[in-house]
Amino acid sequence: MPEIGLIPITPTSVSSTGTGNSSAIEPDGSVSFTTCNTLSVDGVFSSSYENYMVVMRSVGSVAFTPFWVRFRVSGSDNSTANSYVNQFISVSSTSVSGDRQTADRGRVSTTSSTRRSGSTTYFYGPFLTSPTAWASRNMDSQSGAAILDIGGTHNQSTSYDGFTFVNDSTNTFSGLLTVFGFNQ
Amino acid sequence: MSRNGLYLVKPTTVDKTGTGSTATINTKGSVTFSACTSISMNGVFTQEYDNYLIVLRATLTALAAFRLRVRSSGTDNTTANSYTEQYNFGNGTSVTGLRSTNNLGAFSWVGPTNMAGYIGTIYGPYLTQPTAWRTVSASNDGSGAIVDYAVTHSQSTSYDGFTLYNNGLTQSASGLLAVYGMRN
Repeated sequence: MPEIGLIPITPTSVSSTGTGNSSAIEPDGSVSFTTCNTLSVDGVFSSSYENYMVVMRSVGSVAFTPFWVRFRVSGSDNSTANSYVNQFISVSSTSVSGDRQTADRGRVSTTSSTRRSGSTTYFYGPFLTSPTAWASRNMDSQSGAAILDIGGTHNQSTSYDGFTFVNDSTNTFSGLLTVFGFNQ
Repeated sequence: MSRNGLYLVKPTTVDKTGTGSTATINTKGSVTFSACTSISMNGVFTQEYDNYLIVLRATLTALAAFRLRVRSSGTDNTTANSYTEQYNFGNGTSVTGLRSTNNLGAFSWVGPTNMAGYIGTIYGPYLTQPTAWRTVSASNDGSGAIVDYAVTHSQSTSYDGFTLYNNGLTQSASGLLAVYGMRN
């Protein structure tokens, strides 16, 4: 009997910030969240799997809201200066552009208030005591439809057990995400 | 009763090259490899599934392109001009594309400094029809870059595996490689 390839992972805990925010672990292990400025998901990375996939649907509080990731361990985010580098490619109508950003957090997606946004993010090796990489493919709903692709690296040789999605400023996002481990 | 959509496929054998190289088929079917200039996964494509997902995290000893050839019964297909690739490269504010035709296909770039991760979907390799694949990556070129490939292979041949190798065959790669069948 072949092994199942993708395993849903239930976090050990979730926490969030933002006026009127809420976040909860659903019975199936997914995480629902409402009007969050930040959303932390703990206990999802472990020695069981090296690579992970996070699938998220979301709606934002404003027309365009980029948001970011920080990796965390034991409930504490890693915000080491310049440790996150990400490259993005943005396609909006006939305009194709790119940029690279270096910061204490990594760009992972965008959400919008006008229509639904969707993202699939892959995390490579976050639990290993070595640098981490991620890639995300986004359906960005600003202007109705746009493509946002992101690839990034985090240079700290730290073992992480979770992550935080961070929205810009006081903007908030709402939706549902599920974390999967790639069986190995 | 819902069915699982993704299954981890265990290779029948693994071949490798490189001084001091190792490649181990793990219990469930992923492959851990070290110091490989090439790694071949045999017996991963079968009549069981049409389409497959390849998940790779890796580092190379120096920045180089990761190439892919499909293979059957332990032999790579090297037919001249049978692989056509389109790549999309995001490097800072520069976004470029290029199409080329070769006797080998592309998978992505890898480099030594940070972790790099790749997802490739390969369509119909076991069918006696042309094959295609699409890869998306978090590449550590410049610490963060996007290198995506779309590749077609024109031969109407049934393949049971593939080889990943670097261009110059002097750099070696280490990491974890897993193949998943997508239920039809």
